[in-house]
Amino acid sequence: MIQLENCRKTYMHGSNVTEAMSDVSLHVKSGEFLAIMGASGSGKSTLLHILGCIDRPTGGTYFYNGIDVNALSSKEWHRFRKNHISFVFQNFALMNQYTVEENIAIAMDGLLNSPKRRKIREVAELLKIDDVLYKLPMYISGGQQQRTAIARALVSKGELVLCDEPTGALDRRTGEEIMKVIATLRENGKTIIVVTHDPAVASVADRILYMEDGRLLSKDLEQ
Amino acid sequence: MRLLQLIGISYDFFCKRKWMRLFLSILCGFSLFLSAYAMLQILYGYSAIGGYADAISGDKGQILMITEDSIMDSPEMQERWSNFLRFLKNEVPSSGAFAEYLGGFPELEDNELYRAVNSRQQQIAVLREYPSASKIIIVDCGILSLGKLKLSFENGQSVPYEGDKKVMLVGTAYEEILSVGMTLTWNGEQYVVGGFLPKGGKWPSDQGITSPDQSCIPMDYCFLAFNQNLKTTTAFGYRSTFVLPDGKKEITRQRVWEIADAFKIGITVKTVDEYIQDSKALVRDSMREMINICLFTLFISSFLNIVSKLMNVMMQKRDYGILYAFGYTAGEIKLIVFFEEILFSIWSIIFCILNCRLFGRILSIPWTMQLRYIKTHFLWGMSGTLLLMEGVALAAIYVFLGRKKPVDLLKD
Repeated sequence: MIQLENCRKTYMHGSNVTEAMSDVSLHVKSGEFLAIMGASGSGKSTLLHILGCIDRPTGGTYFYNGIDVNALSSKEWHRFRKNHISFVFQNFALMNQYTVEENIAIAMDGLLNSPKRRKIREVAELLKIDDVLYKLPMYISGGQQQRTAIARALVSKGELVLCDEPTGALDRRTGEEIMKVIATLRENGKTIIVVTHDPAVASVADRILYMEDGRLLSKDLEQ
Repeated sequence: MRLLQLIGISYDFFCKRKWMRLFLSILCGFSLFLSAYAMLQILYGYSAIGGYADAISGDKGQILMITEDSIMDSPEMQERWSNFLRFLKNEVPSSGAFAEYLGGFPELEDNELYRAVNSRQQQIAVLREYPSASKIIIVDCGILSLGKLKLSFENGQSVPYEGDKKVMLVGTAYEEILSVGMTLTWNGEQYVVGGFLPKGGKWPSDQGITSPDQSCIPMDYCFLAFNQNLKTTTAFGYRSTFVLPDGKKEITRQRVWEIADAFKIGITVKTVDEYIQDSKALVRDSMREMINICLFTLFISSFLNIVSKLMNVMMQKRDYGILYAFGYTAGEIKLIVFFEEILFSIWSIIFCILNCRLFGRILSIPWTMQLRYIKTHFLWGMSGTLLLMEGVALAAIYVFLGRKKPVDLLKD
């Protein structure tokens, strides 16, 4: 599904060049649950942003189901992200002024109508947030907020779900629950890549990759 | 459909966070008010020193109008003068300072300086106050005040305006007479003079030809002469008769000459009073100073405007980041921001008008933002300024958003 070959990312700050990621090659199969671990600044978030088409690599190739992602025009690139990728962020990335239902609907195309509301309710029931659908994020717990973010990823068309430290802002017990929920995403045909520095979180994944100083230390290391 | 969705999101964004938006709108509205006020003052300043007036209306400059409070005594007189002023405005487009709206003559708009005065001293004071006026209209002074004006000249006092300045005096008499003007030859020069129409009389249809039984000429003829740079003066009297340029009509009355004499002293004698020069210089200097202050105010208010709009965007940059992460393109996000800015601007302009209503009075500009008192070119100038400010603010927002990476937008 994903073939990343010799990808690198450098940032220019005036005359200073910072290499955030270098020579990263990665293969991910459809329906896989992959965890990428590493310390802060190891480049794992950069890798996630490149995989999620939020950022473009400086070099290397990125193929997604045979599509050369780097060769896409800006418009195609955005469309690709919309159609294939969804995110779960550490800070939940919910719009505070929107209700839970409206936040979930962001990932759906077009205006909020009855079929979409039904779909949202189904997903909300699955994730046990149906009782807070009409509440603002500030009035629900952190766990419920992250479930909302997961629901949003679930209703989106994207088959690849990228999770950036999904339990980073939660206590251990809630974190474990959230990871169980994320694991169930696979049942809905999603491929999951989780970036974390928490071994407990990574342990849920099929495969774990380690990053250090912008490089992948282990390749295709089966758990 | 997509566009509708984007507009819907803009509207949603706009409607949420009410209190913060209210605060920012008030801030932005106040900055727009300051800009509008500063811009009006700058235009006023330029007009007062002549540059703007010359630029936009050629040889047609400011009008200073002096009249009596008593003119507004009856509704009938008010209506009569309203018609007169409407006509005047069409015929003599002015540019320059603004009306001092003292509770009468709502038809008097922006550029005419209007003062209602009851005494000679007040008249002189008003004339001194506006030495830059290039056209002066003194209304109804013939019967009520001009005699007093003559006395003042005999006492050595002079009215500080230049001898070659166009002056029109239009006389009225209560009840029976409507004010008109006509030309006459006086000492070999042509003048526009006041004339009268008896009650129930009709205006002659042919300009410049006076009906023998009505002893008058149409008002538009008076203005025609006035606009053709004829020297003008006035003569007043009750059903008086005048010598017309073609010499065909002649009816005289002693009162006419008395007043004409008085007027000759006041108008045709070239004034070399140093006070005039001093006061003109004073006006120019004070105007320049005011313009500089206003330019500074404009700069500050533009800055405030941009800051408030940027704050509005920064407040929800994370939301834009979320939209970006879920497939909205940079162009679509810019469109959302654009629509939102339009809504925000409408709200700001409403607050701007409220500010004008509130602070306009404190700043002694009761006409501020009353559109009927702002002539078209000022309106265009103002609209242009506000649009420019909006454009600059939008450009600043786009630069701000453009410099941010989508990843940065997602951060708290």
